[in-house]
Amino acid sequence: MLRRLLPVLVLVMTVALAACAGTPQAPAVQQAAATVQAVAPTAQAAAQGAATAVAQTAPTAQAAAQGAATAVAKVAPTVEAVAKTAATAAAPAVQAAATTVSSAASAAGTGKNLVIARNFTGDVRSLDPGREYELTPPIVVGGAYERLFTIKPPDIKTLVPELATDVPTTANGGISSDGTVYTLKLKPGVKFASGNPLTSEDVKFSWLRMKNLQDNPSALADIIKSIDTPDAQTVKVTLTEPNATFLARLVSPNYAVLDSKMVQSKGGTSAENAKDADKATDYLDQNSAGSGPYILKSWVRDQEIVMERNPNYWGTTKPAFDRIVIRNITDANAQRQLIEKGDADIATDLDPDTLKALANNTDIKVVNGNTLDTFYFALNTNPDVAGKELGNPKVRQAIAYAIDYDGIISGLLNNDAVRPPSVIPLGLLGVDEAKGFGFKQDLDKAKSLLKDAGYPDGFNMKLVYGAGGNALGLTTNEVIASKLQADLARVGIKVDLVPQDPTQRLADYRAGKLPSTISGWTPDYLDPDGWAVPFAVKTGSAAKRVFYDNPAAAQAAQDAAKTTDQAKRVELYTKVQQLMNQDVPFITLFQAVKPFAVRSNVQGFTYDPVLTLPVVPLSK
Amino acid sequence: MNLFSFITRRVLVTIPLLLGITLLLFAISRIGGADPIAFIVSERAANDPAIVAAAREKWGLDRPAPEQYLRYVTNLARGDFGLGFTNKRPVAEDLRQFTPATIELAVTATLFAILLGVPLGVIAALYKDRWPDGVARFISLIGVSMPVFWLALVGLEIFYARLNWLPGVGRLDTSMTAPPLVTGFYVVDGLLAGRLDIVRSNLSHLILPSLVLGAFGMGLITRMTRSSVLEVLQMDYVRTARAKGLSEWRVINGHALRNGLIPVVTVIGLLFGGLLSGAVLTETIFAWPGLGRYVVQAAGIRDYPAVMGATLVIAVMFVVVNLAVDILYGVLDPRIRA
Repeated sequence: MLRRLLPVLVLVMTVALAACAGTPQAPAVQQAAATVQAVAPTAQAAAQGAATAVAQTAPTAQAAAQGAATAVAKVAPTVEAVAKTAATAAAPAVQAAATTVSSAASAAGTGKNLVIARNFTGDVRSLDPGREYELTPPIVVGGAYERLFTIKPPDIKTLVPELATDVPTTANGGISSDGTVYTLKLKPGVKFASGNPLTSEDVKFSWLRMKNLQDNPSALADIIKSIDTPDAQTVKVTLTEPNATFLARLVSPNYAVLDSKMVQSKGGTSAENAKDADKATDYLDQNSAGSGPYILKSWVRDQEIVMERNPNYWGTTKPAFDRIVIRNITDANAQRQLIEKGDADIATDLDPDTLKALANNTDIKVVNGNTLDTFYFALNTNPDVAGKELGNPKVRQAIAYAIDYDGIISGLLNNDAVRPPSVIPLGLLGVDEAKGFGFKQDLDKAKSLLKDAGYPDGFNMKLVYGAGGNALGLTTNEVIASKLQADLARVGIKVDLVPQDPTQRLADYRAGKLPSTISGWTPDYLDPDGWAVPFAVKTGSAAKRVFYDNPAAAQAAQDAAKTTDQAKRVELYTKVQQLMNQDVPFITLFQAVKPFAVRSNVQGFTYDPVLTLPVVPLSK
Repeated sequence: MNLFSFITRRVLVTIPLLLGITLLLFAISRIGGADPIAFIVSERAANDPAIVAAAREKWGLDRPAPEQYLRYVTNLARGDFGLGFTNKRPVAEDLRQFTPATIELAVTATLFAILLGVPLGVIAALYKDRWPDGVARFISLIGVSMPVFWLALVGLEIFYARLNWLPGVGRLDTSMTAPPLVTGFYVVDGLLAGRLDIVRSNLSHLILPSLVLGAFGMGLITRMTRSSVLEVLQMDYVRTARAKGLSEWRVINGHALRNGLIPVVTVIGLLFGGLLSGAVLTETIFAWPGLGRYVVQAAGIRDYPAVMGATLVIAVMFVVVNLAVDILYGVLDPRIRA
């Protein structure tokens, strides 16, 4: 009796399972192609058959990724041929369907789309160049806006003009002899995507707006006193004091030039009260107002950022893609699958395991980018906070000699890192010259330094770190902290690890309350000044957290910012690094190297520490 | 009590409940101690007093805590959830975007759980201790015991990477962009925009995450249904129904199932509520921009306005689901309405 119920239940389950089996992708298109070809010879039947088959196929075709596109391209001509021969009521439907299929084919398969798989959860707070200060927005700003100067990595020391005609120097009269007035000449004939011409007024508006918004990037403009525009092609910037880092700061995406007419029409202002009066951010989060080869089309938080070709691009090299989609894919393994299958062209967040899985794939190349992100061990120099032991420079030197730097990089970081001699990252001015001052592990020296300092048997110290946080995305804070604990134990220093809530840790560190901690630093602009001043000057944002005060180092860092003489600057920065490695308030543990997976048919990929991933040179 | 006053009373009770939740959340967030300014301004800007002061003023952090709370609640009454610390945009806008994605996933996952779990449970009960029972119990065991991230990773590797039967992560295919935001549900927005390809892509992208997310519920429902139906089948009224000469179909469908499903409805209600807030792992692996991932991310960086807003939305949804379950009880068992 009960068995009579069974067929009903089985039916319900079958329906449920059929629903699970879901929408087939590429195979459906291929099947449809086969169907169409099979029925083609008999005209009338074919027209009806094709109409149904194609009508069903069309949406799938658009949805299907590259793989499907080839199949669709094969279907389209057949369908069109069939449609022509069939003079029935179904014919218009077929033609319509055929058009859908062809357009789907061109959208998906002709190489005009670029898909970037990237984890940008929480990393895009705004796409307004005057406000953004994270790692993902510069990718968008780099495509949709232009700056006066850019760089051509791997050389990150030399400025290359983008909107400017040349790089100003004291020799060519671009920089006044006292180093406070910069005269910048703009290229003629540059137009924004809106069609408005780009003039010196736009430059003035963009930079003053960024300064007066009083948001994160405003600190980059604190040295600007005033901006004058003698003519449409000339911008004259007066600084509050001589500052050789000004040109390097102009490479930052926050110094991108905005279409002032457009931004003002959306409520933007560069006036001093811009922090309250400017209303253009809502618009700039969803649209761009720049002169770059791409325009920002939309941003859906934590989901996607879409850019499209700028049809009015002024430059000679036209944009290579119709559309660039940056898709938020949190999981490294999911990124691997997407790039393996060609559903993504570039994956930016792969871990060592997924990279290993891609190693033998000839369709994908892995490109390493030399970032300027550093991770360091901070030692508080204030005996009242850190205890008399850490307050002694000899003890801090001993710690620097006790650390197994190579072990950290090869053993814990999969060699995805390098190490600069001091706080300034490799690749910048004056760092190669300071390489001789870097530390190497030397346990005997560490022990003898401890003995000299009066602690032959070592001592106890606390290391506070952000629990659950990661060290530049390469490993966890826990791993690094435990490694330091083990290394220091070898010279008799007993380290108590204190995990702390990351926000609390950062707040306490900023307030100078931590005896020692591990922390990261990312670049603000491509000049050693961006590290020398925060780390070496007493009031600098990093130095004050460990009460570091060496007037000679501070003086050298400040002098280096004031002179435009490169040789003199190299000499001064070398001195800063040498002095800091005698005082050891900070020990740089590593500088991250970031791997990117790129499909082999994508050309022009370079890592750029300012833009992360410049989209303009890309093509396929 | 009639149904209308029953519902009215339930809705009114939620108001002090939600106020209590805001007060609790606010208190917890402020007692925590760490200054959220650390996450509002960058490392470099933190050294610039003008920028820090501007940020404090903008978020009202320069005001005493009770005033901050009063301000928050008054704004809330107007539908203003405040500005997020991280993206500096209205939290209400975020919730409008993230909530539909979560509901979409929770609804389909619950549907899968019911559509698979109830029939499996009934089969298991009817064929107690025979092979269909064994199969059903094995499937439910896998659903209940396998961690959701494992199912997600294996499911993607098999059905997307190797077999190509189902699409990969995300709400839409990678080359497809979101439809204009109207409701936030891509099926609806896709239809409104006349984009059937979006509807289709969204539905096919829902299958795997819903199955993975619904697996636990499916297992639970199978087990609940099985034991509940077994119990009901022993009842006198089932014997009476059979004695009256009713067909077995009517005995099961009209008498046994209807009574046997009451405890299952409770489970489904709780399950659905849990899915609304507890889909973090699934949302992370499937790159699904939902509320669960949003609130965890916000909590990690002390984004109080975002955490409070999302928690309130989840609380409201929980209340609504529970209300619906209570009403459904009344429909299934008229005695409860009395």
